[in-house]
Amino acid sequence: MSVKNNISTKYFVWIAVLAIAILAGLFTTYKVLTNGLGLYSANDVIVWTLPLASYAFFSLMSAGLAMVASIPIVFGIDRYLPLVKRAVVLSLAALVAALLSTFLELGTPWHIVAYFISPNPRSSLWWLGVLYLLQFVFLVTFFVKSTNGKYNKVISLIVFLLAIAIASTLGSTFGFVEARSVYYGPFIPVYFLLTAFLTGLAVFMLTTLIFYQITKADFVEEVKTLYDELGKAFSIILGLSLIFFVWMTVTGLYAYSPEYNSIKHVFGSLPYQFALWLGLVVPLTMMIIPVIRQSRWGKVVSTALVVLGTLTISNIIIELGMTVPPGPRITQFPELAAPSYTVWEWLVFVFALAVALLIYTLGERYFELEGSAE
Amino acid sequence: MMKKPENRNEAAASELKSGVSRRSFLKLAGVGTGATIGAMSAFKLRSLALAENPKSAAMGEWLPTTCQGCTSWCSKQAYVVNGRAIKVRGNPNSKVNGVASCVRAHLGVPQMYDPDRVKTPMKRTNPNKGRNEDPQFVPISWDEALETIADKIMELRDNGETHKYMLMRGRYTYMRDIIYDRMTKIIGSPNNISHSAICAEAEKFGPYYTEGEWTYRQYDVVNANYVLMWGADPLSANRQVSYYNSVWGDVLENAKTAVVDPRLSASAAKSDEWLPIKPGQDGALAVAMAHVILTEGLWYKPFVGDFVDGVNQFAPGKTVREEDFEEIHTSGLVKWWNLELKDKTPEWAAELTGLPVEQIRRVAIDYGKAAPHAICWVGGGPAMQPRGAYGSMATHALNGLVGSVDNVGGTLKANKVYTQSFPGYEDYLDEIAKEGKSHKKIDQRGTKAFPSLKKGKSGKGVVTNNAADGIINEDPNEIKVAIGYMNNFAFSAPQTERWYRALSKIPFVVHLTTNASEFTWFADIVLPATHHMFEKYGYVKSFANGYRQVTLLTPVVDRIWDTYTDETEIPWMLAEKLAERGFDNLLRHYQSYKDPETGQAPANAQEFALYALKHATHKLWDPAVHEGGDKFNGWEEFLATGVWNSDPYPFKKRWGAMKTETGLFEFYSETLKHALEGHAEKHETTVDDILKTCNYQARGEMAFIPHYEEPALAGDEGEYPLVLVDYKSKLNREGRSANTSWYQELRDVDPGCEAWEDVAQFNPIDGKKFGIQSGDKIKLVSVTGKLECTAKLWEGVRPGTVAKAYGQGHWAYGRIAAEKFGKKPRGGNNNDIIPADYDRLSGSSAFYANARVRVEKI
Amino acid sequence: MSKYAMVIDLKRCTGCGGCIVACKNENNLSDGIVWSSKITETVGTFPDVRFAYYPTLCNHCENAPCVSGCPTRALYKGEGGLTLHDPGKCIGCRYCMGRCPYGVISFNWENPHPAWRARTETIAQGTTSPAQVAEQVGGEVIPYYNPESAEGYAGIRPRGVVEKCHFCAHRVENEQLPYCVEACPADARIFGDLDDPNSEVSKLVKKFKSFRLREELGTEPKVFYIREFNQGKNSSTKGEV
Repeated sequence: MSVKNNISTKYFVWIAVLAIAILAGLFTTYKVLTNGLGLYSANDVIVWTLPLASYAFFSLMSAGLAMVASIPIVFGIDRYLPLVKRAVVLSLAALVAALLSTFLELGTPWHIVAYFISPNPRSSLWWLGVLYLLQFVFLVTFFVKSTNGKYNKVISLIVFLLAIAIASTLGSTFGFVEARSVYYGPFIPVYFLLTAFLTGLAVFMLTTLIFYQITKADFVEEVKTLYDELGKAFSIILGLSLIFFVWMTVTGLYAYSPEYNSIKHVFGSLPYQFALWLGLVVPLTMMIIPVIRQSRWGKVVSTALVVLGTLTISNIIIELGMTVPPGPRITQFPELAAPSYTVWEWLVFVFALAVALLIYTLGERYFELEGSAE
Repeated sequence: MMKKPENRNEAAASELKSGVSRRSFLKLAGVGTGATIGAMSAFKLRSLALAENPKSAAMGEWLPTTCQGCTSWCSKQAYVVNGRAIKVRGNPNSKVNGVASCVRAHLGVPQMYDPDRVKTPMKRTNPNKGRNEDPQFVPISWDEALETIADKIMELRDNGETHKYMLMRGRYTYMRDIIYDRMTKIIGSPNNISHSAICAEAEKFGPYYTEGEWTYRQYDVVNANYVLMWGADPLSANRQVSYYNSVWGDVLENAKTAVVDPRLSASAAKSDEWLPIKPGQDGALAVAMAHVILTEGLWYKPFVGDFVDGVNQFAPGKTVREEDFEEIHTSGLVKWWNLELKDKTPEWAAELTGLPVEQIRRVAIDYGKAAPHAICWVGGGPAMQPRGAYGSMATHALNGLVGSVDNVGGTLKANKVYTQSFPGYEDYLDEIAKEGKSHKKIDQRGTKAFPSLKKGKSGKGVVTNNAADGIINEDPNEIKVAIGYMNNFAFSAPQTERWYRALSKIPFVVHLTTNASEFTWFADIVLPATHHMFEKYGYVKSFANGYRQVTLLTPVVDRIWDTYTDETEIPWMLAEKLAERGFDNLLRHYQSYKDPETGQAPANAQEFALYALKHATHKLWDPAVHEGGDKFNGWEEFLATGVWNSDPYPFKKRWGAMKTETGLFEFYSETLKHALEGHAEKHETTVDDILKTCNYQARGEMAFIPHYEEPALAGDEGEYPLVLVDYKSKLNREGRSANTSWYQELRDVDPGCEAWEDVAQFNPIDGKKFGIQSGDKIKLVSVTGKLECTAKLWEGVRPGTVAKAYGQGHWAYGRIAAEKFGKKPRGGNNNDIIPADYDRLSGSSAFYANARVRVEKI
Repeated sequence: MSKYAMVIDLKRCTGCGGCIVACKNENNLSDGIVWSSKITETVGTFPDVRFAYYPTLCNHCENAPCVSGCPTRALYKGEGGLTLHDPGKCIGCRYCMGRCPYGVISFNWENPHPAWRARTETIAQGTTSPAQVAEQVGGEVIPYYNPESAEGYAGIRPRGVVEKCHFCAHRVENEQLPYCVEACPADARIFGDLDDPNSEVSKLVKKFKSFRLREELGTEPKVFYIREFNQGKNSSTKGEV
């Protein structure tokens, strides 16, 4: 089902939209590199805001998509092989988006070379850098091989393990922070791993279904069954995510100590309620009702909600650890107010998203991503 | 017995020196990262060459000078690197403050480099004057500025109107008489108006009329066993903040401390007792304490004396016969008891003061038991009130009861110094000057309603704030030419809008200032002045730790801008211009200030400034005329050291030899009686009439003893339910530091305050009552004015009061001090809402227990 | 080997804030950045109110979370146990700020000293602009720039990197005390080598019961607090039923 000959005005419009977003992003880059991160709403107490949440979001997405791409080969589930090519491209696209978000999240990104000449293996942040580099190399290799129709078991195993490592190591950057009780512990590494897989599945299904919609492809019976199966797997992961999220909330609300109890400040907020209901409960409900799960719109809506939910949840978790300012900082930020992101931060996210979409679009356009079972 | 303030860290510093002989200290961080990336370099490997030159990295030198951020007047050193003064510390050669430095001193550095400093003389081009009239200053040359001023003065001379010239003195050094006294008199005017009455002058009333010393005091706290502070916050303000901060840890080892203050000050935060008194009731507490001390038999017998038969007859309500008590170094104790103290029980005081009976009794007994090493520290609080003279007397008199006057661990005056005054002016007064000088002063001191009994004489003390009314009402006459130097009465004096009117009325106003302040807004000519700490010569005297110092202000760096020194160079330059116009008396007078070393007369302004300083301090640095204290081998050594220290304090020398009418410490003040009678006689009336006119309650003999006067608050309690408690931030450099970002950033070091805010502090009970939350923008309104600021609810405030620091609310001065220069103030100026009331017996302005306010949300 | 530490004597401390501003002065700190700070608390209800002040600064932890977490070793432990920073390696990720339990690390969100770069005059031709003052007197960016603090560290840290107290390493290596210690008028800050049993700090931590901030986190901070800010003696009693 090649689309090489199916160039339409819709495509040009789409590329134009992405181009505008990318230009805005380049301008943002210029502004940030010359003026500093003060353009964002962050400060010495709320240290990380949307750009970091954007990075975490895309990073988890990439890891999850890498799992989607590698699981069929690693576990020998042949009927899922057609998914691999697209999943790899999506994973790469998301990884680039993550790295782009990082670039604009760092105060002095050109010092990144210090990662190589002054490494710190004690730091999970250092490991993340190494893992991203490896993942990038292996994903590209994976992709090249897959376009030649070759699925290498070793490479896909490495990609799979890297994906697990990335998602949980990203979690550990918070999980190893003893100073902030809301972060510390194994919960975030595990939850991020789960969320990665959830988001990977969601993005894969969402993208594919939208692609089918745009190309007016036939949703043949075997594809329908495959996606329904995916939908079931998705519901299970979603169910687990909901359980994790609920327990995270309850343990926080139950606590007396202000630090552990800090979730009460976000509990009533719109983002939190969105994340819980529209990001988890509603999609799960939709996915366990067979008639909705089997419908295309049902899958599109619920996966879209889950994707938005992941972005929101990344944001919330990062914010939670910073709501109780440590030591003397309490006087700087005594009023706990949700930061209102500046336009530059939104542009960072939009920039990263546009680049990811561009990579995927070009991949879809110039390579046959719609694979067939072999 | 006096302890030099120890620097515990001297021990620590020497430890570092004596440690390992050679070591590499900081490791090289990363290879070539600095070069390749082009960012700042990392710590470098350093081997230490210890013994030879441990200070090899020192790039500058510490040069002596003095800080006048407050009236502690610490001797300081400024660290100068490449001609820039970058930091300050206490002068280790000072026996008063040593190397210790309070926090506000550091703000002198950004103050010096303030971009809003006036860099050139300016003249007004907008002929209209008013709060909302931008002067539209344009730069002019020094010649043009001085010539304009000289012309105006000559005009007055030519018309026989020299008494319509006025000199207002603000922040001074002891070079002040050159401009404040000599210039004013030789021109021929009585109107040299100082700022003392808006400082804490009424504090001196009590000490004068009990022990004969019209002075601020030093307190021998390191040897005290009880320190009771009345409206004083020595850790933040009042006098010798650096010294008292340095020894307070020692004080707390040996002494109990207590603070009487409606708000929880920095000193109160560290004390054993906080007595959150109702504003204006200090006198009640003081006399009740005296009552307890006497009834409990705790007075100090070697100083005060005892009952002839040794049996204590002081009992509540009981009159005592004077002959039954034999006083030693005091006078009038029994009279005092009979007239005032016998009924003033703690129970009576508890109701008035709002303090628990047990606390009053406990503090009185603990204080008495600590005699004679028990200090009553009289701050501005009880004194600078409408009836504060008696508050000052009552609180200070307690020192007499416990024998801590002039005693170890007690209240002391300043040690003797050997500075001398400038050459006399009489020979330079012509007929015009003699005539002009004889007019009445514009501040109306000595008139019936303003006895201003400084040092026992009617009208001897200034009534600064009343000069505004004198000008407005042209009583005794109009003012045509006014020069103000380093003052800002349009900000620093109560009921500021009167000064707007007064200054608008004066046809020609000159301001010698560093920054264009509220006063400058009404000026016709602005002369930019040098910064006191880094750019000029001068000296001041200050005392603590049982010593007095004469500390030099020296120019440690070159002047940044085209500025000259207010008290010395500018008067000389003006004198030259006057001489060019045929009036050379002033210049010839200044030329008599010869260099004591060479005998040479000054030829220019710079020489004049230096010779004048050398003359005034001659007996300190010249071994040939040395009389006491530190000895130097000459001027250069004195200049390099920066400070001369007096001989140690002569304890108890004044026992029985006080400068009072009786020569004794007077509980019944014959001295005050004499002064009041003198004033009454001058106005052909009775003392009672004077007291009535001046709004005191005492009549008859009560007038001559420390007694309780009810507070005289302005405004009806129903309409204005809260009493304003004004206080001074520990970051205030008088009113001048608000234009530094450090002041704003650090503002929350004052207990209960916020950074970048000017908060009015309310007890949460009042917050609830008036519907105010922390962070609300509010208005405080009094009978005479209003201000806008931010509310803060804080437990360290007495309910029924609102505490707010003075220092902000500038609408001029600079870009940080004002929110919009010339237009909108940052915060609110307390003086906008404090009515112009006075403690008339001392002439002082009343800042405390004066304004009642109400709060409104904006 | 030395192990530098600081003892803060809360009884002597008067809460003046001199340490805060002296450090800003010595190290050319930008607007809004403090390395030496404080925690204050007002406890109780009128008239039984207590106000206490605790000076804070980098604790130069032996087990510094900022150092273990820094991906490029821009933060590292130097000799004497000082926790030091190399702006040349700092990528500005602020991970150290997240990991630090004490809130003592600051980030340069913009070009430092923005106020001093302004070129506006309050009174045209009568006053000057901040940038002009610095140029006139030759100070780097700020007129009172202290070049001594650039001995070994950036005198003014650039936009995009973090910064924090380094116990005035540039002074300590020249056998001078950290500037906050010198500037404290009350001798409430004592600095020295814990490995030297005769040092003041060693003696003080032996003589007085001390506490360190958040000791339970195992960071082994090296700032020890002794005694109490507010004395308040009371007479003994057993209360009543």
